[in-house]
Amino acid sequence: MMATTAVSQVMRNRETGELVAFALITAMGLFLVTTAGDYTIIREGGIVGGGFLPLLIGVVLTVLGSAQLVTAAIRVRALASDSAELDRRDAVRRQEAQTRDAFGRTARQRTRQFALVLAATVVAVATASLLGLLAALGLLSVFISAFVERRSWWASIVISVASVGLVWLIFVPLLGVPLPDGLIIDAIRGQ
Amino acid sequence: MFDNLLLGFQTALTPENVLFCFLGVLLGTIIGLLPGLGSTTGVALLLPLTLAMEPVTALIMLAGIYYGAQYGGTITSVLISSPGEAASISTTFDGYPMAKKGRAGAALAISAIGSFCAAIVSLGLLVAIAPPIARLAVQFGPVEMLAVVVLGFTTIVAFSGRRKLLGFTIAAVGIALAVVGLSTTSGAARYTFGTVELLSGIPLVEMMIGLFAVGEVLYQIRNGGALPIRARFKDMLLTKDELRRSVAPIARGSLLGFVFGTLPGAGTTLASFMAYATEKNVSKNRDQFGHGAIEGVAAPESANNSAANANFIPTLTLGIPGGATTAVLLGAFTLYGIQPGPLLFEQQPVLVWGLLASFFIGNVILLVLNLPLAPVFAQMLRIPYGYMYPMILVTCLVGAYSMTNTMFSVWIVVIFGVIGYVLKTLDFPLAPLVMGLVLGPLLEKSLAQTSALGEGSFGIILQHPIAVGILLFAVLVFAAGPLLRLLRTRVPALRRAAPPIPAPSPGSRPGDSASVSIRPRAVPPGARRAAKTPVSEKKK
Repeated sequence: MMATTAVSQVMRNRETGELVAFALITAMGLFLVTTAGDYTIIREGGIVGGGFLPLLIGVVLTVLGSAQLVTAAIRVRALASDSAELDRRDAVRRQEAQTRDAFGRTARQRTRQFALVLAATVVAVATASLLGLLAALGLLSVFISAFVERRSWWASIVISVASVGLVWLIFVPLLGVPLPDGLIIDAIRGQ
Repeated sequence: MFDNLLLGFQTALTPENVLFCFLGVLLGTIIGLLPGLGSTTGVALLLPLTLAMEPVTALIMLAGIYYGAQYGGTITSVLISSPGEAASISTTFDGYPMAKKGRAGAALAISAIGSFCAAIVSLGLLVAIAPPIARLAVQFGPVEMLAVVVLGFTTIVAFSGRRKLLGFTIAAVGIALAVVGLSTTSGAARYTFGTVELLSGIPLVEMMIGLFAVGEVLYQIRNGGALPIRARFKDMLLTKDELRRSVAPIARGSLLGFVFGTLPGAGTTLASFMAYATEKNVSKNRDQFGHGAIEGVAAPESANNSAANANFIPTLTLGIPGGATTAVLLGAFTLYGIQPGPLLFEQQPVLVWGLLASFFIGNVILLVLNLPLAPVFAQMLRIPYGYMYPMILVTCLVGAYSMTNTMFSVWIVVIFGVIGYVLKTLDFPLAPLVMGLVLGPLLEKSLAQTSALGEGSFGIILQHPIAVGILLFAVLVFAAGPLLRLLRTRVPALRRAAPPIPAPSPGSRPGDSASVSIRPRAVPPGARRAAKTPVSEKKK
C-alpha cells in the first residue's frame, strides 16, 4: 500500500513527465532510424542522400533519448524510495493547493481552467469549417468569459464581439484575408 | 559605409517607415509587458499583419517589436519579478528588490537609459562589423557554411546551462522536425504521410505562434500570475549617485553583450547573465547585489539590448539566426521573398541599411516613450489576464490561418501550443528546438554539397582553412566552460576570482538561453503585500 502511494506520488512529479518525454524522443529516434532507409541514404559518388539526415538524427535521438530515459527512470526509482523527499514534496503540494494566485485562484481551479480552455480551443478549431472561423472563435471567447472566467453573459458577449470584431477589422477589410465562412453560411448562401 | 548609412537613414526616415517603427516599438513595449507575450511571441504573432507591407517597412516594424518587447519585459521584471523574456531574468535579481524599496522608477529609468546607450554602441559596432563579415562570408562555400551551422548548434548546446545534453537533444528534435517535407538534396517527399500541406515542411511561423504564444497562454492559465508594484512618475527620477554608479556597468554590459550576441544561436540571455555575473564580481557595491543594487539592473539590461542588435550580425550576414526572435525574423525574410546571407548587403542595400538605421530611430523613440511613460505602461499590468488571453488566442488562430488560408496552419498552432506548454512545464528549453528547425535544412544542404565536393569524403573540410578555423572556434566555445570549471577546482586563486553564477529564478536555469519566456509560478514574496491597488478581478 505504502509503495503504491509512493509510486503514485512520484507519478505526479515532473520526473515522470520527463520520463514520458524521453521515451517519446527515443521512439522518435527509432522511427527515424528504421524509416530512413526508405529514402536514399548515400547516393552515387558517396553524396549524402535524402535518408542521411533522418538516419543521423535518428541515431542521435535514440542514443541521447535512451540515455536520459534511463537516468530519469533511476531518478524516479530513487525518489519512490526516498520517503523524506516524498513527504517534503507532499507538503509542498498541499501548500500549493491551498495557495491562491494573485487573482484568488487555487491550483485546482487553475487546472480546471486550463483543461476547459484547451478542450474548448480544440472544439472551436474542429468546428470552424462548419461554423466559420470567426464564429467558432467568437463562441470560444464567449465560453471562456462566461464559463471559465465566470463573467456575466452580457459582459462575455460584449467582450467577445468587441475582440472578434477587432480581429475581423484587421484581417478581413484591412489585410484582405478570406476567412472561411463555414458550411452553414455557405449552404444558406447556396439556397 | 557613410553613403550606405545615409541611404539607410533616407529609407528609415520616410514618414511611413517612421510611423511603423513607432508602432512596432509601442506594440513591442506593450507586448513585452503583457503576461504571456515576449519578443519572439510578439514578432510571430504580428508577422501575418505585415504580409501586405513593403518588406523594408515590415522588417522595420518587426524589429521595433523585438527591441520594444525587450524593454517591456524589463517592466514586468522590475514590477512583478516576472521576466517576460529569459534575457530579463537577471534584471529581477536586483530590479525587484529596488522596486520593493520604492525605487521601481529608478530601476526602470536606468534600464531605459542603459538599453539606449547599449543600443547605440552596439549599432555602431554592428554597422562597422557586419559589412566586412558579409564580404568575408561571400567567399563561404558549402564547407564553410557547414562549419557555421555546426558552430550555431555548438553555441546552443554549450550555453544550455547545466543541461547541455538536454539542449542537444531538443536541437536534434528540431532537426528531426525539419526533415519533414521535400528533401533539399533529392526532392523526395519525406514523412508527409500523404498530407499535401506537409510537402513544404512544418511551417516555421505557425510553429512559433503555437510554441511561444499559445503554449505561454496555457502555461499562464495553469500557473497563475502575480500582482504588480506601482511605479509613479516622480519615482522615475534618478539620483546623481545612481547615475554615477551605472555608467561603468552600462559600458561593460554593452561590450560584453555585443561579443556574446554575435555568436550564432547564443541569443540574448547568455549576454545578460554574463554581464550580471561580471558586474557582481567587479563592482565596489557587490555586497548590495541581490538586495537592490542599481548596477545589477544597468549591466544586464545594457547587455541584453546590445546582444539583441548583435544578433543581427549572424542573421543578416550568414542567414544563421542569432536567437529565437531572429529565427522568426529569418522566417519573415523568407516570406517576403528575401534570402538573408552574405549577398544581402550587396543585393538589398536599401533594405539592410534602412533596417539598421531604423534601429537608431527606434531606440530614440523607445527612450522618449519609456522615460516619461513607463508608469503608464505599467498600468497595463493591472489588466486582469482573464480579459487578455481569449483575445490572444483568437488573434493567434486567425493570424495562423492568414499565413496559408488553410485550417492546416491553425491545427499546427494548436498542436505546437500543447507541445510548447508541455516543454515549459517540464522546463525544457525551446530555443534549441526552433534553431534545429531553422538550421536543419541548411545543415542537410551543406552536408550534401560538402560530400559532393569531397566526392563522398568529408575530409575535404580540412582543405578549407576558414572552415577549420570556425570548427576550432566551435570546439573552444564548447570546451571553454568545462575547462574553466576544471581550472577553478584545481587552482585556488582562480576559484576566488571566478564570477559567481547568479541564482536561477523560478522556472529557469542560469545560462539557459533556451527558456525564452519564463514567468514565476506563484506570487513572489512580498508582491501581495507590496501591491497597493488590488486587481478588480472577480474572485472565484
